[in-house]
Amino acid sequence: MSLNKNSCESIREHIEAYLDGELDRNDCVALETHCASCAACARELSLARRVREELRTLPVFPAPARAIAAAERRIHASKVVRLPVRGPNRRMRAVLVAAAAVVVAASVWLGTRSRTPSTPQYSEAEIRQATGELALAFGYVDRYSAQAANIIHNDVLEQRVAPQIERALNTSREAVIDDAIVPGIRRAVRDSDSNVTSPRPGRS
Amino acid sequence: MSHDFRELAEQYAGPVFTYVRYSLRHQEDAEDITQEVLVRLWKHHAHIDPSRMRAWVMQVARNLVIDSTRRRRARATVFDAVPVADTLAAPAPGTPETETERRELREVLEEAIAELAEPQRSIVVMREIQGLSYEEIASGLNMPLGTIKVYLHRARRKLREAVQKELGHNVTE
Repeated sequence: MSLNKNSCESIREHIEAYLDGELDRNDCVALETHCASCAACARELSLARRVREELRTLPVFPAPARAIAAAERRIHASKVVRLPVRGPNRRMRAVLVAAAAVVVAASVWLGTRSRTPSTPQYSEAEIRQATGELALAFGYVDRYSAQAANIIHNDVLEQRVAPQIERALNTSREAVIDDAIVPGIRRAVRDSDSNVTSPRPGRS
Repeated sequence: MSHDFRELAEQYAGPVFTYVRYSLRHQEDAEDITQEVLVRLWKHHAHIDPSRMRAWVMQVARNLVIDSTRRRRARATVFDAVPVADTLAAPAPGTPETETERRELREVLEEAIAELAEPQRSIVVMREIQGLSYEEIASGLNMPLGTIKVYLHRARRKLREAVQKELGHNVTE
């Protein structure tokens, strides 16, 4: 748009170009002449200079080292973290199923061993029911393990717990099984053993 | 990995953080977004044309700023509390009146910069605060040089109008 020396609006439109040295000689003269006789445009020109001056003194912010370090940690963690997207992976699922089968078999075996053949305390139907309940319980364990894994994974995606996950992953999966699952299975076996061998209230 | 990452971070973290800091005027959000940009940059840097890397980085930062602004607007309807700048540069020595005026002017300018639409805000930050040349900005934002100048003129005028509106005609040379 060409400069109209008689229009304040046109003069103000061109103030930035004037300050950038982009106007030709004639337009520069026209703008300066206008501002010499128009107090409002002169103030506008002065204000434009002041704003530029002040803008250039605003600080450049260096990126905080902690932001860079956090990004580096996340990158490192993403190379290590391989959490399942939808619950335990195949191997883990197989381990859980096998563990459940072992528990069921052990509880049945222990239950039958502790009873005298002539006077069984529980019927086959009751054992089947207990076995079913145990399987159901393991089903819940499996299901909520999967949900927990999903929650953890989503949190990782939200970048909130990556450092903690990184530390947790230093513990091997085998160690988790040894320290957490095996004792749990042993406890379950003991519990089911005591349930099977001790008579329920109200039964003779 | 660390060496390469540090090189990338050294080159881009500062410009990104400054841009986001002026866009959101919030230290922690700016740090979070800078962190996110660096992670994404590291993830994709092998597939980005080096001459377009700055444009790529700024585009990602702009998108994250837009997302963050939306979330903050939603939060503001509940909490009505958007943190203001807490790290304004110290004003140059002068009379108390001058210092107060300058502080007010800077405050108004920072607010006005944050209110600018894209790409005007990016251009103002890159040109006026980071001191990049028009050519560097045009290359960085992948825009024609003439377009950059037009946006910058408009942005400066908006800043001027904001100062006039907030501080009247008292602020002059």
